[in-house]
Amino acid sequence: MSRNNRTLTWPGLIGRNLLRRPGRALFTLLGVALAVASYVALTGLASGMIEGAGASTDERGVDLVVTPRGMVELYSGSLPESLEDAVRRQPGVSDVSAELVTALEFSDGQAIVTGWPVDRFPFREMRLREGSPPRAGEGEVVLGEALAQAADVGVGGEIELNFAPFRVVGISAYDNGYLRNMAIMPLGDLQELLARPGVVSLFQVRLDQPEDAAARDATSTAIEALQPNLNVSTTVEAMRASKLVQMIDSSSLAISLVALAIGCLSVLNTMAMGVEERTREIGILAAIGWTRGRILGLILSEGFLLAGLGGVAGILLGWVGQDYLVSNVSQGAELDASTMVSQAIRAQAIALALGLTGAFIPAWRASRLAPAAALRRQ
Amino acid sequence: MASADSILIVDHVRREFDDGAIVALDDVSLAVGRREMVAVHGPNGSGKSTLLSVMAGLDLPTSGTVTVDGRRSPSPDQWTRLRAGAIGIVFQDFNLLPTLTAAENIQVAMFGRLSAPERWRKANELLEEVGIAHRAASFPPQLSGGERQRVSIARSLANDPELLLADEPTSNLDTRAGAAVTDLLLDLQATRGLALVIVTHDARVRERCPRTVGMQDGRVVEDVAE
Repeated sequence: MSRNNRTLTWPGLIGRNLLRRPGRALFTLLGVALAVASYVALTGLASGMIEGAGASTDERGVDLVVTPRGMVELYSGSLPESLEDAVRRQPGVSDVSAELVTALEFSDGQAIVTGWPVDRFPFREMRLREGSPPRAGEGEVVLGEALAQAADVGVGGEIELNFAPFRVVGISAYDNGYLRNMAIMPLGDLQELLARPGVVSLFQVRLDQPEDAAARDATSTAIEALQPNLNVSTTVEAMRASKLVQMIDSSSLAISLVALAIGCLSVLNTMAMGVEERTREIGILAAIGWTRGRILGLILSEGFLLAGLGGVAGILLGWVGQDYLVSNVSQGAELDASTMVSQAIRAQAIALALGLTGAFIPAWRASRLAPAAALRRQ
Repeated sequence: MASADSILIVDHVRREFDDGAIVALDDVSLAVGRREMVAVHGPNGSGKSTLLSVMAGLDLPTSGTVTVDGRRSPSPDQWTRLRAGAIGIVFQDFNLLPTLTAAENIQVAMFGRLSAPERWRKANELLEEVGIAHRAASFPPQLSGGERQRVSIARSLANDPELLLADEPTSNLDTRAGAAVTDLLLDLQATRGLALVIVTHDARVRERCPRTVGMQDGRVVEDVAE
């Protein structure tokens, strides 16, 4: 059998049709890829922020967080530190720690700076790769590993936060992205630095029976009854309720939808041009007995394949973009593997739907062509 | 004229274009028997090719009926099924798909009816039958006019039709290639027992057909059988 005398299969026919205009097919594929990539990167940002924050408290054994109701974002929360004792007395609470958290300019980027009371569990259980915990009132700080690497500073080095000098006394050894980008100091020092004495952002709560949903609900209800403006939830729930995260999520989705619509139009344009150019060939197929359904299937399959390949490229590109956004917009945000896989499946489904939607009108027109009229076209 | 042994019956067919401004076929009636060979001739614009399009269901009559293989006035979908089975068409300008090889152009006519290996095997058998098996892997632009028409003929036979409709199959060929294609069509008609309708300008083709139908101004003006 000669090299070119091969069995003609359905995928082979589709590929042959797409490759007759390789440049156009490639640009359409890129259009779909960019649309899918923007969806993956942008929607991943909000998910990454939520999951990263959730993982950061999981790693420290925090079951619930107490935040002000309707907070715009975690850093803006403002609660009296004195509330800590009342929270501790609630049924089912095993331990509590206040936390003040903020984002400050640091090196060429920004750092999440957190303050914990020196006698509470987060501070006591602080994991250090090297050095020692910071002492209160001494202008000392512990840096996360990623933060120390980015600033190229180690134990004994000097840094500046909010125009005040601090001495690095330790490098923490956490796995979570947020914690690796976090600067930790005693709560009182951070309150003084921010001129917010007696104020904290939230309370971290450990429960006696964290797996018991009913007990957890009872504890949450009891804490929320302490003050009318309190919200008790997991960190992930708190992040989801954050107005900032919601804003990022909805604006990311809106931008993604515009990109996806453009991707869809790009497929439609390519397939419409292809059908227009191949009107006579479609007439030939009809003349040799191809049914409308088979002609429709051919054009839809071409759109499907184009979008499918674009979707795969878009997912890979989107993950790269997500990495860039995370490192430049929200340091420490992270997505776990299962979320990335489910996001990829969703993105691929969207890409394939784009291909089918974009190809449908041209395919429908092609399948309705009158054979004699189509054969007269040059 | 029409009988139970007719594979094709055209009955009082009229075909108008541009809302009746052009009448391409005017009250045309014609029956073609199984295994019969008919040459349709006439000057340019006499309606020959329109008649062939109507016979193949590529175009539908404005009025009148066409019956193929016992099916009267088929719907567009029924016409498609007929072209995928009972009817084969050979075109004047070959109508091969330029991105497919000779063998693939034949295989494409068998999609949905045979498996991929069967399509490949049958395409190569048909190319053998029309004498250009050695050109199976060539693309249409690499073939001569005569070879392209042979591929077109092989494709028309892909679904083992009972009725072969040929629209001026030799008019784009030189004398020698045209004669060879005519020989091939007549041989196939005889060996396969096909009904063959050839629309032609070529007097030599006409002379070799036992029945000739003359057309002028959209009407049948003569129908002569030996």
